[in-house]
Amino acid sequence: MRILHTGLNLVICCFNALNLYLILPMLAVIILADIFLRSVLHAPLVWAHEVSGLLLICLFFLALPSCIQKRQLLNVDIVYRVMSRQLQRYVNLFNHLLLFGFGVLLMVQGYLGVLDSLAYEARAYSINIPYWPFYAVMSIVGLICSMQSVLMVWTSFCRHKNEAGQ
Amino acid sequence: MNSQAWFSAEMLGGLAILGLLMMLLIRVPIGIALVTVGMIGNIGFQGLEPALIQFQLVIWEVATNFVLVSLPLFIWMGNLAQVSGFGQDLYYGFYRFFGRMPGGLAVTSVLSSASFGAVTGSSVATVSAMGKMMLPEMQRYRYDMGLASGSVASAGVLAILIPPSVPLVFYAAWTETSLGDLFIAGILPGILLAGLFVLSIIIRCLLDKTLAPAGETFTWSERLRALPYLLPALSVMLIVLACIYTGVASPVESAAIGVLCIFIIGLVRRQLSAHAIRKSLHQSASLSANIFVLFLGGVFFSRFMAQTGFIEQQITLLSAWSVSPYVFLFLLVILYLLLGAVLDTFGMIILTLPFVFPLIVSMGYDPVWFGIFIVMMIELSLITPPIGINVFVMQRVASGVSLMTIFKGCFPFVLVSLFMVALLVCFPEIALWLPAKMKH
Repeated sequence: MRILHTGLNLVICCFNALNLYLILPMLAVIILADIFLRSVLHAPLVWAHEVSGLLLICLFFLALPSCIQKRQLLNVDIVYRVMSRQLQRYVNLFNHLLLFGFGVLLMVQGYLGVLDSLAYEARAYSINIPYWPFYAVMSIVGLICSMQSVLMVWTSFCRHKNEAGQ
Repeated sequence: MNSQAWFSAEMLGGLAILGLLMMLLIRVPIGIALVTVGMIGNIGFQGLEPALIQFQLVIWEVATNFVLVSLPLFIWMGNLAQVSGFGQDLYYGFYRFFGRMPGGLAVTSVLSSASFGAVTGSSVATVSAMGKMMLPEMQRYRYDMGLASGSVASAGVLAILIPPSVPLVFYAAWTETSLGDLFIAGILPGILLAGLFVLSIIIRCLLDKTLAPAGETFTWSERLRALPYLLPALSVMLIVLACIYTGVASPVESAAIGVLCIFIIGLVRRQLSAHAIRKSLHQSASLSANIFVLFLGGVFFSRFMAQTGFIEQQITLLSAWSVSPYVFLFLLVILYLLLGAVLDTFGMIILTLPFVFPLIVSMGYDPVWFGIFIVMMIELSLITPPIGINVFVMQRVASGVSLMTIFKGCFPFVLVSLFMVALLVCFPEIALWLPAKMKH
């Protein structure tokens, strides 16, 4: 489990770096270039909107594992706060299972998307970019999310065991 | 066997809502709960394969939605503005003009927060940045702590009304309303609300002089010398709005222009370190992903609800009761005040829009107007108990001031905001006049 933990951290760091140093700046640069070329040179980048959308997919998915790791997903904890510790444990387990399901769903959908895009040679209309790498990102992120949830279940199990031992 | 044999479609919709509420109560992340209920419902309603296809379509549709491109960019713009020292400059500039007025520091805090919020679009960032500067000053001048903390916490809400506003981007993407119209529609109500806040502070300070002793007086030459301090923030705001208004750039593209402006200003003034830029990028990616999950879940869930016919049933019921639109809006105000007690900004939008938006449209209300209305209601939830995020941020900034004092301090501003909501309901032109002019 320690190896899984370290591995996941490394992957999440790489995802973050990709987002921070490549995708988000690139998004801004493409849009600015389009405005400049359109307004000044009257030669818009016809692919700017489509590529921005594709970059957005990467941005959203690559930032998702980090959000999950830091438990930043929005939730309502007004009832949770008044629950007993044992009930909280069950609730956490249920939440981790749902997260696992969500991860698996993303993984499977991404995988099916890759197969479909390859089979139908799906690609962007305005520029020659195939869709399958973006579905692959979705699938990999789904896999990471489901592994994160397994790790969370394991961590809470170990903590519970330690507390019971004490 | 298909579940339609057991449940009517509308009943399935009702059960889905019940299941969703149960999940939310046990702290399932809102986005995940929406996806789960939507998926179970869709499987029950159409079978596994169509449900999976639907999910894949929704993911692609949401993740490539061009309006949502502005989301990470506006958040990045706000984060950059926060680390570029715009807040201090605004305070310095406005204080020289308004410091001498009754409650001058509180007035300064409202105007600085409104302008700062117009650049950041984030209420929490505004309260945090302005609170750190304004509260020690107000303490130094022996201001009543309720007025001091209440004015900063309440002024922070102007950030999400005056464009660019992240909740408005979210609303626009969800309802497919023009983002440009929404941004322009938010200007007048935002300025009006800021004006009402200022007026209420002056009146209260005139009635009770112990609330806020007089501040420093500045000569006109000192005031004129302070004008350049207002320029960076105000120019970014004006450039972004001018680009939208004149059509040079779409609202989505104006976000990139805003980022560029702040970047240049920050670099010229040597206030942007590599660490600050990295932090701003990280925060914007994180928040964007968070909003994406919510949006994804919301769209998937609402598609399912639309299939069940639950919403149509509610519209028919409402028409049969012939509820007056004003009564309906009053009920909505109550609903949002209650929801604000347990949900945050995006949670409130995503959980109510699938039901409320079709009803509002069927009653003939303008979606642009409703966008401003819903943002104003969200604003109220930021400063009302028990959640009142702005109040909690304020308390973190103002050590030694109790939550109760801040909530009490916010109360007059809540009344002013409710008055503004009433004005908006009675005179929808407050929101709709500028967008109509823009179209001309």
